[in-house]
Parts: sequence; C-alpha cells; structure tokens
Amino acid sequence: METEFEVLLIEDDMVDVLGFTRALRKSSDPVNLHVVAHGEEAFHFLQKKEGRGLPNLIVLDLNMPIMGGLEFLGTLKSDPALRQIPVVVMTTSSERKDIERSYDLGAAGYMVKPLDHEEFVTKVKRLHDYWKSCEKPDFKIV
Amino acid sequence: MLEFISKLFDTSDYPARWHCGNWTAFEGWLHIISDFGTWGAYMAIPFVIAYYALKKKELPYSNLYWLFCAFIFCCGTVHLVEAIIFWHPVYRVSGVIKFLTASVSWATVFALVRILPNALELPGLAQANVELRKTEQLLRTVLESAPNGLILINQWGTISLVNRETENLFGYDRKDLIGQPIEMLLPARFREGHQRFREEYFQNPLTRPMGAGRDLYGVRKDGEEFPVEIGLNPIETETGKMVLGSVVDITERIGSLERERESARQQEALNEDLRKSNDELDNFCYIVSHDLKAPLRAISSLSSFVLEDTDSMSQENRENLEIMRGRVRRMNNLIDGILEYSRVGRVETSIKDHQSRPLIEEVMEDLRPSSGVEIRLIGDFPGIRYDETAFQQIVQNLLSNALKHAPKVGGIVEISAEDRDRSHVFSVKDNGPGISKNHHDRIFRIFQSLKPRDDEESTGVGLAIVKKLVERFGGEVWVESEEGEGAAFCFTIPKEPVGSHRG
Repeated sequence: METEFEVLLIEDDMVDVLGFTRALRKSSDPVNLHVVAHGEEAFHFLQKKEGRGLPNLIVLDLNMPIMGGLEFLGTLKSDPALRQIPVVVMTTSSERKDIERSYDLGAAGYMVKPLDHEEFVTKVKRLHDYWKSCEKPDFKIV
Repeated sequence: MLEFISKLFDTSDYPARWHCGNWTAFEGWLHIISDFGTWGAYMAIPFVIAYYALKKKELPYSNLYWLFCAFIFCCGTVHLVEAIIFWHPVYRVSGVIKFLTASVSWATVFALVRILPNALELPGLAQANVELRKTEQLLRTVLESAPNGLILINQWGTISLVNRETENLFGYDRKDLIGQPIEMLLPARFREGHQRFREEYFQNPLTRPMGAGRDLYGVRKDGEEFPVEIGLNPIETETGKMVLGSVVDITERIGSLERERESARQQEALNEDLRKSNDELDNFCYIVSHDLKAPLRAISSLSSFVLEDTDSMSQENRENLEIMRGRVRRMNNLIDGILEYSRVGRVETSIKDHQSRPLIEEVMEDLRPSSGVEIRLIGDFPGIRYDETAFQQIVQNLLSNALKHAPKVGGIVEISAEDRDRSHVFSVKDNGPGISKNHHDRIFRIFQSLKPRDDEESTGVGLAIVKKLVERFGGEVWVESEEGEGAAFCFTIPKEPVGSHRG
C-alpha cells in the first residue's frame, strides 16, 4: 500500500497557511498536510506521531512566537529519533545570516516566501515534486 | 778692565771710610746703622713681594713683581756695601753693585712705562668688588626668579643652596632647608630608595632627568604630596662634587593630561554611542522590514485568492484590485530597498587585495544579457584594497543605472579609473539624458528617484546604497552631469583602507 505523502507545516501566519494549502491543492498528488503554529506545538505533534510513522517533510517558518524556527531546527536535529526528517525553511527573510544558520543547523532547503501567490504556487509545486521523487526516508529509531 | 776685575776686592787703593775725614762716632754709626737698617728692610720687602706673587696666581703683570724684587734687593745691597766700606773700602764692588742697581732700576722704569696704559685700565679693587657684587646680584636674581625650584646638594645629600621657588614649592624657609638631608623633601616611602639612587648617581653623574619611567613626588612641609619632574646636573666645585636639581611641579600638567584623556574618553563614548545607534537603526530597519513584509504578503495573497475565487467580477473591480496589487508590489520593493540599504551597515566586510578589472568584468557579465547598450572599459584599472562584495555592489548599482538611462539605440557606457594621489577614482559614464545640477545632491538620498512613483523598477535606493558603501570605506561619490549631456558617476577608493571593520 502506498503511503500518503505527509507534510508538517510549522507556520503562524494564517494567510501563509492558506496560501500553502492552496498551492498544494494545485500540485498533482494529494498531500496529507498538518499545520502547527510554532516549534513547541510541532514537538507535541511529533511525539504523538512517534511509532506510527513520521511526516515525510517539515516546512518551517523562522519567525514565530514561543519557539522560533531556528530553535526548533536545532532541537530537532539533535534528537536522534527525529533528525532524519528533512526540513525546508520557508520564510520572509532573505538575510544571508539566516540562510547560513539554517543550513548549518541541518536544513535541507531554504525558500524565501515570494510576494505573489502565483510565484508561491510554482515554488511549492517544485518543492513537492522534488520531495516526491526522493526515496521516502527511513524513520527507524537509531 | 782685567785689572779692575782682578782688583775687585782689593782695598789697598782707598782708605776705609772711618779714616777718611773726621767722623765722630755718632756721625759714623748714624750712617752705618741706617744703612744696615735699610738693607735689612730692603731684603725683607722682596721676600714679601715674592711670596705674594707666588701665592696670588692670577696676578696681572706678575713679571713686574719680580723686577720690583730685584730692584729693591739691589738697592738693599748698595746700602749694605756702604756700611761695610767704613771698615773695608771695597769701592770697586760698590761700583759694580750700583751699576747693577741702576740697570735694574731703569729696566723697571721701562717696564712700568710700557704697561702703564694697560694698567690704568685695570679696575681698582673697590671697583672690582662692585663689579663682582653686580655679577653676584645678577646670578642671585636669576637663581631666585628661576621658575624651577633649584636645589644644590653635596655628595652626602645635604642641601647647600635653594632658591625662592624651592621655598614656594615645598613650603619651607630656606634656613630650614640648608644643611638638611635632601630626603626631607621626599615622601617617606621613597626616602630609603632615594639614598641608594643618590649614591649611585654620584658614582656616575650625568646631566639627565631623574627617575626615568617612574612617577616622582615631593612632599610639602604640611605633608601634602605633589607630582614633580626633576632634572639633575652634576657640578664640580672646590669643595667637591655637587648636584644641582631642578624641580618642577607638574600637578597642572598632569591635570590637563587627565582632562585630555577624559575628553578623549567622552569622544570615544560618543562614537561608541553613535556606532551603537547606527547598528540599532540598521537592526531596526531589518526587523521592521520583515514585520512589514508579512502583512503585505498577506494582502497580496488574499487579493489573489479573491481574484481566483470570484468568477463574476466587474472589469472595474478587477482593475482596482490589480492597481492595489501593483501598489503592494511597490511597497514591497521599497521595503526591500530599506532592507538592502540597512544591510550595508550590517554585513561583515573583509578588506583584501583585488584587481579591479576582473571584478568589473564579472558585474558586466551579470548585467549585459539584459541590455543592448555597449559597455566600454577605458584605460588601465588599478589593484585595490577593498571589500570585494562592496566594490561589485557599487559597480553593479552604477552600471545598471547607466544601462537603464543610456539610450536603447546607440547607448554607450564607459567605465574608467584614474590614479589620484591618495585614492583611485572610478567613473561610470553614460550618454543618456543627463541630470540637472539642482538634482545632483538629491539623487544620493534614499527614495529620491527622479522617476514616476509607479515605476516598479526604480526603488530609489541604488545610489543611496552606493553612497553608504563608498563612504563606509572612506571614499566619496559624486555625479558630473549636465542636462542632455549624459552623466558620469564617480567614486573614490582610498589606497590606504580606512573603512570600519565589523566582526
């Protein structure tokens, strides 16, 4: 049985969530999308999911309340059970230091949120296609 | 003559004086005793004069004294012989001695006449004393009015002379100082050490400042300490080696140094504040820009959703929505401009040696595809010590501006460099419409584009960024242009980098 592609979106901006959902809807395959508003909520979600298969991809905003994106990324990548989930950062910031810091912490990709929704759709489509084409990561606990 | 010499002491040709004429005993002995007396005195006088001349080393005309001695000695001898002749008539010896006496006397006369004019010029003793007193008075005045405290000590460290300034500085009367050890003027903690230094100094006295590299202090009669500067001069005197110390109170000098340091500290603090507030401003721009962009994107997205989701929308509504989206894009560009402008102050720089030509060519590679305008590199391009990214950013902004303003047909942009004293001057010149003189200052300010507001291409930060970058590295930027004659944008790069370095 083919498992549905599962994405965890960590994003506090409601409109961005809406935009992302619309963009995904326009991409070819149905995607199982979970949305949380910040890092801490994301960990709650992941703890509940453990043992029943983890998401294939995490899309992460940087600028969020309670637990920001970089903090979440650092914590996730130091957790042996969770660090194999690929994380793509999706943020407003095009600052070089944010980009470098994200990759240093183990991000698999970095995407600057475009102003236009059309461009956003294109980007998300490309992201989706790329991750679909990758082999599904093995989530066995090391 | 031979006969005279051989009969010099012969008395046979004359009678003794006693037998020549009728001398009473009184008359004869009056002569004899007087002659002996005179002789005795005339013998004594040369000895006294000789003693005086020998002892008084720097006597003027000392040879004259010896002539006086000889002259008086001869006269004395004449009197001796005159007395002897009463018994032994040695008239020939007497003649010889009288001749000698005459010769020496005339020699003395000649000597005296010869030196008389000079001798008249010699000051008398009284006058010499007056001169001496004047000189002494002058020296004393100099000593007393010297702005430094002067202290003369002997090799046992005893004070033997001080001037008025010393009294003022230390608050003692000189009678309390003379004869006392110099250490009484030092704070107690330095006294023992000073004694050792002083003994060493007398071993090898040199004119030099005292206590090189150490802070020196004196102590007043009332116990108050004050910082001093001391110069030492060794002096050889008849009573042995002495040292003249020259003391200056440097309380005020140290005070003004302190004040200078204080004002430098304040200046530094101000600079630090300025740097901080500049940093804060840049960080503020960064944060605000990001916070402004999020809602803007939301507006943009939502307007897209509306457009997508509404099938039946009037043409007017659709147009209005499109205009709104245009303004949103413009605002987004402005925010990007602020971000980019603030980034100039935030990014770290690394100043290294580069060849400027390849850097310019790289920028040209990036820009050329989008333009049909010809770009020419004129002349030689120097090596520069600069931040690579900053240089390319400057060139990129100026070049893309030039390409934008050069005519689409027959457009030419010329890039050149010139060596000028302490800097290189780079110039990017287009043959576009040019810029009127009264806009020359304005165009370098942020958001001061001369294009219409709705031109999305032009955000009005390019030249502001160029100015900020160029000035950050200690250069200048200006434009040379007349309306209708193209524009040349010039910027300087100092040969010695002065830019602020972060990180």
